[in-house]
Amino acid sequence: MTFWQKLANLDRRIIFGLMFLAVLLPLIFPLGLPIKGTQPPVKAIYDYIEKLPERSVVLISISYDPSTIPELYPMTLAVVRHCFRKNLRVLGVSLTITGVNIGADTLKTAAEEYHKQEGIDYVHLGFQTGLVTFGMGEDIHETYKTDYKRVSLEELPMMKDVRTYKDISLIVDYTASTTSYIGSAVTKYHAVLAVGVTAVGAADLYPYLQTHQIIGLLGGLRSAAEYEILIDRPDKGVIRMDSQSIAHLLILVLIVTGNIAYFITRRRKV
Amino acid sequence: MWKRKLPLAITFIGGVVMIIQFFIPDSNQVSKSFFKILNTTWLPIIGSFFIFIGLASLFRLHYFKIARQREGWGYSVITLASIGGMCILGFDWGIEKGSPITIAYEWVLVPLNATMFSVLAFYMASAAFRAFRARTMVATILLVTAFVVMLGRVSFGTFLWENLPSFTEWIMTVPNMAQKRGILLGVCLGMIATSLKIIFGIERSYLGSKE
Repeated sequence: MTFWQKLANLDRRIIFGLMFLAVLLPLIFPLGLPIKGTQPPVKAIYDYIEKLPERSVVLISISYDPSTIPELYPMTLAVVRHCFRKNLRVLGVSLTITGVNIGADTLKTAAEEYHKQEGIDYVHLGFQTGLVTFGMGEDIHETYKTDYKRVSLEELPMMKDVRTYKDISLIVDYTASTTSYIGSAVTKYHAVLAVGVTAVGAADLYPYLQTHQIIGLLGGLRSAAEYEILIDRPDKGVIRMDSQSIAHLLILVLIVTGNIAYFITRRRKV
Repeated sequence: MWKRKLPLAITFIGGVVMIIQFFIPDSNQVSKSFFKILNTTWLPIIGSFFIFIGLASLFRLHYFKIARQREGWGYSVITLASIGGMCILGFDWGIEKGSPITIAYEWVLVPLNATMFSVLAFYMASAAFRAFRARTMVATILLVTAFVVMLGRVSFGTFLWENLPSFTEWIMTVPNMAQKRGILLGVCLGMIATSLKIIFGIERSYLGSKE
């Protein structure tokens, strides 16, 4: 068996090992690779939040599971930090049961950094069954009745003037697949929507971007890192980009090597 | 007779009401009130039943698997024990940090979920090496596009060519979007056709196997 034949039939355990090292080593020994430029859909969200008047309400919707935390949590935290820095109020909801804790953790982490008070500066509604994206357009107080800690919305000062999408300046939906807000909040209630999504899911949302049904798009870890740089608060997004860059590079090397080995061994067979 | 006609009638009324409310202005108080009650009261109740039916169905499936000791019945025991355990933990001890459900969530569910998803990276690397071949013209275009987009999304892209991220963005906003829109329109038209068939009672498979 020639070298190229051996390479073409490389044991998958070697590939797994290389990938393991490509992900792990940059996390232990950060390379500090530069992240240059900002994608226009990322900048659009930043600019929109920058222009909002103080005390405006931003709805942060957590529609993802723990499986996508490494990719989506950094961008969620970055936008919430931006909102608190601008003295905006944040309303959290979770469209998945497993997203409730993620939402609570994100809001609490950012709130502690900016000395924000629960019930006054932010409220987390948690999870509710049914088509809540329509329900919130009719009456948030009727749809949820309590926050995720079972405190009545009537008792929360922030919720006194927040009843429907009309009282919300921007919705940012974080999802691992596609957003539920376009057919409801945007189409029926004319709400302003931005979406944060995994890199794989981003391609599906570009048509909505062009039609302005969404004003901006955060797609994958790169967008999270760019947003962290925009708000001048580099964190997990920037750190993890090293790991993602090396892993992507490894996959590109594997694709090229695999193709070279394939063509050389095929030519020899002919 | 009603056993068959009643679900068809409910489906027809529900479907038509949900369609026409999109065409009735907000100023119409009757429509607005009805839609409000539907969304804030009825749907959460129906949604709760979904969870109940899902749990009952899952329990039934795994119960019989355990009772008949079918292949892999041990996993069914773990599944039922996990569901039962999480239900008990989440029953009435709150959702605050440090509560039993949060501890189980942070130290069991999150690592398990993340592990399952991260395994994808290893399979993707292996698949990229074995299956991503420039065998035909179409496969070559796909390969080159994927190559450019991957490179444009990471830090190395700008080292090679300063405008690579902009070029990647162009790929996403022009060729990618064109095909996505085509697929999206096709899927939506298919969904509309299927929904109309269900609303008008042409498609009845949801009523049971005999239909």
